[in-house]
Amino acid sequence: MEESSTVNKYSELEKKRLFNDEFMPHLKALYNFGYRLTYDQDDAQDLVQDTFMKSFRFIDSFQQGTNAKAWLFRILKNSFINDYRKKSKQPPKVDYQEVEGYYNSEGTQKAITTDLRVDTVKNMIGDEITNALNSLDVDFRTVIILCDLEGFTYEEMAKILDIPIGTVRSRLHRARNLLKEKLIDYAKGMGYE
Amino acid sequence: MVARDIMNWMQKAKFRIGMANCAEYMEMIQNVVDNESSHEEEVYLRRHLKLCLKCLDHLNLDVELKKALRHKLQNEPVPEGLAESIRKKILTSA
Repeated sequence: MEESSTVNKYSELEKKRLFNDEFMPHLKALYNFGYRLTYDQDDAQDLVQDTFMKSFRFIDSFQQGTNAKAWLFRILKNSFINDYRKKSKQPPKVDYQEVEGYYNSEGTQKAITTDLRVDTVKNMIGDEITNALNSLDVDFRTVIILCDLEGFTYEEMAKILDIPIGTVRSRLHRARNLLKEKLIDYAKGMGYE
Repeated sequence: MVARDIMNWMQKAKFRIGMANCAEYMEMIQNVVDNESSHEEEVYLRRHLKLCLKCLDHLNLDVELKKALRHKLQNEPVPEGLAESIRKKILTSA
């Protein structure tokens, strides 16, 4: 994304200003992103510290006036994949070709939407929504966090995740359907339906 | 490329004359929910929603779900001292 070929030469003063004014304000969002990826406070702290260290080390490749938040989220996501995931040695759980091929098939879209009602979602409390989101596979969870919580555009998400926009769109669609399925289960368990 | 252009043109024509089926409006609904839609898409979708309660329900549910995610998810408080420790590390590394 902002790793274009132009590399800046910021002065020490400018680096500090960028770091304090453009990067640090995203601490809370980054920490929560890290926490929602790992469910662990210490791991989230490590990820965030690592992200800020890298952001400072590579600050010359940050273009002023571009979206610092997206740039930082991309660094954190890469740290998560390269360091954390390797450490925990979790095999990938999802076969995307299989899953994302479902996007345009009518059958998968209809069954889900008819079951969950707007009022049910309105009545749900934070716990239920949080648990449903947390139960999704990390790649599906990630697109929902980036889009719905953090308000990134599809284009920004494509750059953060290094995937084509079409894949962002289909993964998000699938993630929401999975989330709805979880919420239906909750609703049934709570006697809403 | 030419074949794709023709496909796109035919798809657009379907929306223009209101002959697309509900599954074909799914992507438009998603675009509207996520603020990624073009003006043209909004016009086509609005027209379809006047006739189709099912798609209207779908749109309303997705809007509500997005709202719920944004407003009801619990935030994890940032640990005290994290900001300070990051600033210290940066200073010593510089």
